[in-house]
Order: sequence, then C-alpha cells, then structure tokens
Amino acid sequence: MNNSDFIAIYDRYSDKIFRHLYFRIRDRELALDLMQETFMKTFVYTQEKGSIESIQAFLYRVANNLMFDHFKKKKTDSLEKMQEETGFTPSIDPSEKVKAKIDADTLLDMMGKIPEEYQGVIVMRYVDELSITEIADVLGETENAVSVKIHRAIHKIRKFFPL
Amino acid sequence: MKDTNQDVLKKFKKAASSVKLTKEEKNHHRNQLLHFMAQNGANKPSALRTWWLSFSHFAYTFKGSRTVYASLLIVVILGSGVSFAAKDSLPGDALYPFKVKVLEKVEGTLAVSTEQKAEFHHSLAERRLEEAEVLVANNTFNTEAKNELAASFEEHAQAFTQEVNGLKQKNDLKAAEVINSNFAISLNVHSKILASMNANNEQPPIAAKAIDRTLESNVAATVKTLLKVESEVNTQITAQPKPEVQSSADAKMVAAQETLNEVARIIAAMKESVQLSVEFQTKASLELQVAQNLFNRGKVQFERKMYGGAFLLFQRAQKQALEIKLLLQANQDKNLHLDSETLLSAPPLTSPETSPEATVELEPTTVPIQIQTRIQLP
Repeated sequence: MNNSDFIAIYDRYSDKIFRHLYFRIRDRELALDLMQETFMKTFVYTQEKGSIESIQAFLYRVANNLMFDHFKKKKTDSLEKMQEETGFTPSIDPSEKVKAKIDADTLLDMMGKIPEEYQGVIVMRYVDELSITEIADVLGETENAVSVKIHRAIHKIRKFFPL
Repeated sequence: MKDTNQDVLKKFKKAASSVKLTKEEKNHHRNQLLHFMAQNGANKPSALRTWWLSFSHFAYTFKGSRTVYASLLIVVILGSGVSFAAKDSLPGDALYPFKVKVLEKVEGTLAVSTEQKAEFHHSLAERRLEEAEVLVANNTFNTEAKNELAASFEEHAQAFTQEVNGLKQKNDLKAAEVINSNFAISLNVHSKILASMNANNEQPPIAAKAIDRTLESNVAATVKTLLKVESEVNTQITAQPKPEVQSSADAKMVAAQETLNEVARIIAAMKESVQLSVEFQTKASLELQVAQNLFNRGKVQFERKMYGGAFLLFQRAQKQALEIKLLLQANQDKNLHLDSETLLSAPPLTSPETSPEATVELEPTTVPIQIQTRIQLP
C-alpha cells in the first residue's frame, strides 16, 4: 500500500474514527489525538505486514485499543471516572444549528450513563452506522452476541433518551 | 419494538452527524499524517529486517526451485558474516564487489514503490560520496576508485531522477518535492564536505584534485538537475487550487517546524556535551536563525492566506535547517578532518527559480526580522 492509497483511507475514515472515539471518551482533544495515532499505527502496520483485509474493522480495533490503553495509563477505574475528571466538551461543527447541538449533548449525556459494555456497540451501530456483521468483526464476537448486546443496550437507553 | 428502534436510529444519526472534524482539523491531521508517513515509510528497514525481507523475497521468487532455495539459504546463513564485513568496504577492498554487486542488488529488490526506489537510489548515490570522502581522508583515492565511484554515482543519480519523474507523472507532487529536496540537500552537503576536506589539506593529494574533475562535477550537474525539478514541482504545487496549496503549505509548515526544533535540540545537546567548538556553534546557531526567520516570514504569508509564498518559504527554512543538521553530523566525524569554516561558509542550496520572491504572491513583510538576508559568515 503506497502513501497515496493510505491518505485516501484517511480521507474516507477519519471522520468516522474521530466520531467513534469522541462518543466513547467525550473529550474532543483526546479524540483528535487518538484518531491521529490510530492512522499512524495502522500505517506502520501496513508497512510492516502489507495489506489489511478489512481496513475499516482494523481502524476501529486500533482506535479501541488505543482508547483502552490510554485509560489504562491514566489509571482511571473506568471511562465514567474519566468523564468526571475531564467533563465533556460539546463538539459541534460551527455550522450546525443549536438544535443539533442539543441533540448531540443529549446523546453524549446519555452515553455517559449507560454501562461501558454497551457503549461500544451502541456507538458502532448508531453513530458509526456499522452493520451487525461489521461490529462482530471489530469486536471478534459472533453476530448473535452483538445483536443481543444491542438489544439490551436499547433497553438501557430508553431510560435516558426521549423516544 | 422495530419502530422504536428505528426512532432511536434516526435520533442517533441526526445527533451524531453534527459531530465531525472541522475542515481545518482534518487538513491539519492529514498533513501530520503525511509527514509521519514520509518519515516512517518502509524504506528505512532495520538491518535485521532487511536481511529477513531480502531472504523472504528471494525465497518467494525462487519458491519453485528447491535447489536454488536451499543454496540461497546457505548463502544467506554463511554470508551474513561476510555481508557485515563488506558493509564498510571501499573500492579496492576484496569485499567491495560483493557489497556493490550482491548486497546492494538485494537491497534494491526491497524497494517496491516509486518512492522507495527513488530513496534507494538516493542512498546509494550518497553512499558513493561517503566512500569517496573516506578515501580522500585516507589519501587512497586512486584513479580506478575515482572512475568506479563516479560511474556508480551517475547511474544512481539518473535512476533517481527517473523515479522522481515517475512521481510527477502520477501527480504525487508532495512526495516528489520531499524526495527531490532531500537528495539535493544531501548532495550539497557532500559537496561542502569535499570542499572542506580539500581546504583543510595544505597540500591536497593528487587524488583529491581528481575529484574536482569527475565526481564533484557529476554532483554539481545532478544538483542542477534536482533544482530544476524542484522548481518545476514547486510551480505545479503552487498552481493548484487554493485549498490544495494551503494543504501543502500547512504540511510544509509542520515539517519545517519539526526540523527547526530538531536542529535546535542537536545544537543544544552538542553544546552541553562540549562536542561543538564555540566557533562552529555560533555559526550553526546563526544559520539556524536565518532558517527560523525564513520560517517566520512563511508564517506571515500563511496568515495572510498567501499560501504559495508561504510554502516556498517553509521549504527554504526546512532545507536550510536540514543542511545544518547534516553538516553538524558530518563535523562530528573526526576521521574526515573537516574545516569547519569552509563547511558552514558555502552558499545555501537555493535556485533563483525556487525563491518565493521570484514566484508568487509575495509582498514586503512588515514583521520585524532580525536577519533580512543570509549572513555572510566570517
């Protein structure tokens, strides 16, 4: 894979990876840093190992690993604790309307309230818009297990999200 | 339940779509990634990895032939010690033909992309000059070695130019610019080193004089070609649509800043460890200041959205800083007996065509600049 190919991958997936990280950690600057690192690590991997079968799944895996490594380094007990320390910075494109901001804030708020094990699948399914198969590929779980998690997560969400 | 889930999906989509990278963020991180890729491509494999990759490559190439495979395995295993010894061999040494005809050919097979091939030829052309420098220092640069090195240098320099032209044809201008520029800087530094070595010898050996007529003229001709290519690439880059030029300027700004910081760190480290004479340190610091001023002017242009001029100024700043870095490193090699005064007094590597003042959208800067023009060092 040459540099031009890899930049095309960045152009295609950077928004998705950033959004995924942002909704998981709710810190824009940190999400930007980890997004950058995700692409750098993936590039190094492509240089050493050659092509990657599913680049999208690979990027999500790297992003998730970096996120967990980061929290491990920080010695935080959980993502929730990290949120308490940093707060969350509403991150809205300046061109978006106030309504969208409120929705995004609500979504972020809700994400902080559901258990960590459900956050990942919810973000991948509804924010990243990955299929069940793609999520299963990222997590290394069966499609059935992913479906069950999503189903349970939606039950939790109902408590916090106006439906 | 299905309807409820669909509602959730819609609300999520709507809320999530409002969160994205701003255009500036996306461009900035893209440029940082480009810089990282340029610095960390697979063209700089470790020695161990080089051997493993070369073995893997040949194993794959000859996978149908068990005899060749087995023979190759033996050669690789038995030859590893020889190759280690051959690595530093020079023209005239028994192992030099093995180094050039076997090891370097194997090394060449690892370069797959156009960029890697260009960098491969850069490294070998530069290696020929380094060998010449050692031979001059040892006063053993005879006619045979001179001819051999000059021919090999020319071969790799021409191959390099072909690869860079390939990048230009593919419209990979950023890669062409970086690779071409790095080679030009490297050659200019070696020219200075050779000039310094001659200046440092009260009675230059006959062999050293021979360099002036052959290898140095080849180097000078190649530098001229590279500067012409650089000028062409710069014209292409700065003629692109404004967002593209901005992106190029942003990338160059990041790269130049990193290089300036790196050189400042090197100078500080050498100062601390007393590896640098006060005289050389002062000259290097002044040269770095000139580079920094070019960078500052570039930033002014960038802030005024004059991205073409900014790109060229950042390019000049980075080139100058890189040159200082290479000269500092060369100065540490006591075996070369370099004359530090000559080393830092030669003119910088800038073609008139690449001067931002001579090309696009430059206006007189109002920012106070300590050093407006290049300082003539004593």
